[in-house]
Amino acid sequence: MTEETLVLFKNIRNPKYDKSLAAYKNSGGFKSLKKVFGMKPEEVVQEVKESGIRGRGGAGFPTGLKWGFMAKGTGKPSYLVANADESEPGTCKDRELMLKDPHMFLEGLMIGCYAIGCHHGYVYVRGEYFASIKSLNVAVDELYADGLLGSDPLGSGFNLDITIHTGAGAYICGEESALLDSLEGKRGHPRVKPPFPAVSGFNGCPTSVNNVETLACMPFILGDNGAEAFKSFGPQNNSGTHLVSLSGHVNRPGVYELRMDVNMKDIIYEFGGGISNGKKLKGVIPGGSSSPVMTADEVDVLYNFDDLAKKGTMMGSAALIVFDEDTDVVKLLHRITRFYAHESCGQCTPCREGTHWSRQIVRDFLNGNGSDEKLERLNRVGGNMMGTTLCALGDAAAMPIQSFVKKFPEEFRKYYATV
Amino acid sequence: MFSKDIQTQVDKLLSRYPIRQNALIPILHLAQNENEGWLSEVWMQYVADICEVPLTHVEGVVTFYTMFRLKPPGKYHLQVCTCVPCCLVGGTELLEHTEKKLDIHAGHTTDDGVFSIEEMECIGACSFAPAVIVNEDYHEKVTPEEMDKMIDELRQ
Amino acid sequence: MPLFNEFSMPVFHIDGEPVEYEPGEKILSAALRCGKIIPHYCYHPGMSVVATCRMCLVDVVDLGNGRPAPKLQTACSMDAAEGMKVETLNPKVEEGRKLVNEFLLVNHPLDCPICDQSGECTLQDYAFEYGSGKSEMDYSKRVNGWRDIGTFVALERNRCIQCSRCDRFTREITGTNEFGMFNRGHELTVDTYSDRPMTNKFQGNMADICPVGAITEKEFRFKRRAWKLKKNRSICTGCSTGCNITIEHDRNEIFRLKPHENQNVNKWWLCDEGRLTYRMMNERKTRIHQPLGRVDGKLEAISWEEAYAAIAERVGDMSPLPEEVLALTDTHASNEELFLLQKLLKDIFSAENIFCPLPKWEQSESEFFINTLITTDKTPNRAGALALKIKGDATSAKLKKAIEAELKVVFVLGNPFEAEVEVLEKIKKAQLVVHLGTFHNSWNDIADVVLPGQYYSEKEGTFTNKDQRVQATEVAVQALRRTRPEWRILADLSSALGQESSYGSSADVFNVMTKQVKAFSGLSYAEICGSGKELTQRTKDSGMKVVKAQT
Repeated sequence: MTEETLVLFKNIRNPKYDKSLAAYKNSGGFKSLKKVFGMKPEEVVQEVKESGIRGRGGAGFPTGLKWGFMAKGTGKPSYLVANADESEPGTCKDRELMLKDPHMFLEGLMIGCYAIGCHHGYVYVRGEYFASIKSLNVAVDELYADGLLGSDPLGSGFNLDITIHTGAGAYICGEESALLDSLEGKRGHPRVKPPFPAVSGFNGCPTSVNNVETLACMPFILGDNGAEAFKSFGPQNNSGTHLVSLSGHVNRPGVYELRMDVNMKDIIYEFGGGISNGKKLKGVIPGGSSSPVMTADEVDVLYNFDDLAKKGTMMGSAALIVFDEDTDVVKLLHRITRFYAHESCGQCTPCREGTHWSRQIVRDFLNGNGSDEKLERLNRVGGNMMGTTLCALGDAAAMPIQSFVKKFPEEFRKYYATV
Repeated sequence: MFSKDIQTQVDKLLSRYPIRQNALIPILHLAQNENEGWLSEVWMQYVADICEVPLTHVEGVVTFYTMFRLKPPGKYHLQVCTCVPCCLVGGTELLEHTEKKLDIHAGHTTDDGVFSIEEMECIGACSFAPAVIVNEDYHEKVTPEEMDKMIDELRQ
Repeated sequence: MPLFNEFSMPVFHIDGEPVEYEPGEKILSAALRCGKIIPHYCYHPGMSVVATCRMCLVDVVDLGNGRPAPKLQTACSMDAAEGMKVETLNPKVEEGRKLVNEFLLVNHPLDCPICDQSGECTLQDYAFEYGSGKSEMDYSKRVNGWRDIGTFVALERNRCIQCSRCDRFTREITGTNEFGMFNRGHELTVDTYSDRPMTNKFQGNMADICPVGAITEKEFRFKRRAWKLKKNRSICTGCSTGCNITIEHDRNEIFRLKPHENQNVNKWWLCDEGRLTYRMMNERKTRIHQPLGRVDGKLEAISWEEAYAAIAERVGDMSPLPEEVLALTDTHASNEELFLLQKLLKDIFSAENIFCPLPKWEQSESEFFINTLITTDKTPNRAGALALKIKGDATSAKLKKAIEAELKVVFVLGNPFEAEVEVLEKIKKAQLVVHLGTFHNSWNDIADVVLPGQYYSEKEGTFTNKDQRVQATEVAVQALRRTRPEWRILADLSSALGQESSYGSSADVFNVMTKQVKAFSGLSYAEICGSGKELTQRTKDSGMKVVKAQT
């Protein structure tokens, strides 16, 4: 298969589309919202469950289930927060959506708000996305002007506000509880769970945090026969189309909207146009920098949640980073460990100390001070962060280290072995 | 301390959240823009009072997020991404080139105060790497030559 | 299901032993309550749970539903549940602790030889237990440096393990927010920003809760190794709250006072002012070292026997009427001492003229409990005096009348009415003034006999705090050789004046008091020695005023 399947990108791929509210409405926008306003919230959640959509932020948790967990009857307001703090290295899909078709995402957010009974939705956008923030703010203003936001949109009797909130540069705020802390005006420290956000989230109220792309799928899913169609775009349990951010040594890097039954090889060689400069493939990081690395002979696999999990790695946020035969993977790993050392919030011991220490060890190799013992130590220090921290950043830092050491041990040895 | 215009924005922000503290980070952004791109203790105290939080809370927040600066940046703040996808396709070299061109290291400002360089972790333009943010504008697939040209143009 | 459940609360199991828990209680809290030790750093029962040090990892082999938890869990943050089975000693857990401790030691300096915390440092203890003995960290350690952050404590940031207890303390306990967490990741620091000094009055607690030597008491800095200190339970006598403390001393010198947990009084805390009272305990210069008698107008050293004999002789000569006898005391005296003084007057002289200054005092009211600890009444036993119905004020008519009489015998306990020149002038004219006290003061100038007493840290006694809770002190250090506890002096005086008594200890006096004084009835000494007990018959204190705490 060499064609994109256009659901999320149907407007973006249209060269004449100008992302205005009028243009979005012309493309059939807000029909789903109108339909949703005629349904009961539980019916909407049910429909989302049936579509089988799994969160696009990285963890792949079923969205319908998440909404179903929202605490009811607490006497507190419920909140829906769109996680637009896209910062996993390799991922640049949400930026495209927010920048080029903000209304589709906002309609999805509104559908989500209705489904969980939220009257004020927040969009937590990473602070560096200046253009996306602007684009979203313009779109929200259009919606208020049109009466689609505010009191009683489309005669639904459902009051709804949306606020665009800017972050300020912290990878960890992509973690949902850290994001909520940050949204509350605090340092972005992941929280102890339970309680989960569905019980105690934003300001202690029931909250659902959903990825931008996940929400952008909602207008389609809640459209006519949408859930069924959505399910048909991929193998069982891996519903829908998704946005793949392809980067690294390929001829045509970019964000592609693909079904979930596309082979990773095809993504690299067909969509990506093969390895740049006629080089050979050495490996890929399949799901953002935190996913375990794969070697060139492992890439013949369907690019979806379950098939990659079977291979011992993960799809994460569908950020496919490709590297060619000339790549120095030790340098690459050093860059990855540096990233996690920089982005660790520092509250948990293993992550605070481990990310920095592992970075120091990798640097030792680059400085010619490697040894078998250090390779083993690197693996051990990395592994010790696995599963011992409050949030998943420890795991995210550990997985690349362990997988690089396992899959490319010779590359490390090259740095210290005497010829 | 906020100009009337900005104060309107601050008031609007405050009205969008259940409690004042929630608006802290967006208001800090406004304060930083008002103060030529950085936050002094006076400004932090000012924002702390607006959001009804202790000064230490604001300082904790400001030192947590990379976008808040505690010293003035250059007039043009060049943010070069060298994270994983960018470094694969020349981000690191682009940074080195920029450093050499301006004769400063990342994290510093040129003597004339016009340029400052910051080495960035992933800025989310991975499929369009290597990427650079100049103040608030993204520049994608930047070559060293383009960087030279850009710097020369900005300098005039 | 067992037919009979011997526990009143639900039960889960730690290492095979049944442990009761309150619904919603965390594993660690329930375990600690039962005396089960699970290593931890960041958890503190008085503050919110952050679960960040990761030391309290346990293996939940059964979540209560037959299934195990997928990975090690932090005991501080996980709810206990009916039927849950927790293992705290298996190899998986030991491995987890080992790795967390290794990470903590990566940047912790090995300066134990010059660290005041050494010997009472949990990091040191656990490193001993779980450490490998050698470090695989071969890079230079993080250096953040020493900071002078407050009047009472210093911060050695290199030793900090970022447990954030101090940060939570200033946010959740004092509400003063001087501490915060700054920067992030490896560079995360927990301190006051840009060297701003702290202002709260409870800084010493931050040294207590710091699990390592990052925050240490300036008073204690480099004075003595912690393991040399012997500890005795006592009561802080710095004000009427009566915070529970341990007196920590070595070679008869007191080095510091530490709070002792008592949920009914001070919880885990003690104010800095209270901590500083240890200085008075070591004071020697102004102490009265031996009995003194006035010979030819000058006080001269005499023996105890000479002192008692002289008093008995003079009293015998005078045969005073009840209104010619007067006793003055302050509320630094213990319940027993007040009781015996009162009894001495009654039994020997049939006199009732006993007075004690009871100035008005203020109790703070605050959303932060700790602010209510400091009262303006800087004496420990006002409520005890009230319970014994000992009252009076410099302005009271009764006292004025009493001192107008032709006084023959006056007993002065402690240092009452010192600033009241008129009272002193009147008492000066009395024929025999007996002063029982620990420190030289103006009463010595007019006393005919001075009997040296002992300080709180040197004797036993019970004190009634502002909430009418009776609590006991124990002997911590040896008193000056020729001094005696006041309760003994009063008992001896009673004997010398013809009323034999057989008190072997302060506790004996207490037991008699519970029988003779209604307010103290029903109390037993053993009970009081634990965490104290409130009086069953409460006396209203009209001198108290509730004020808003200043922050």
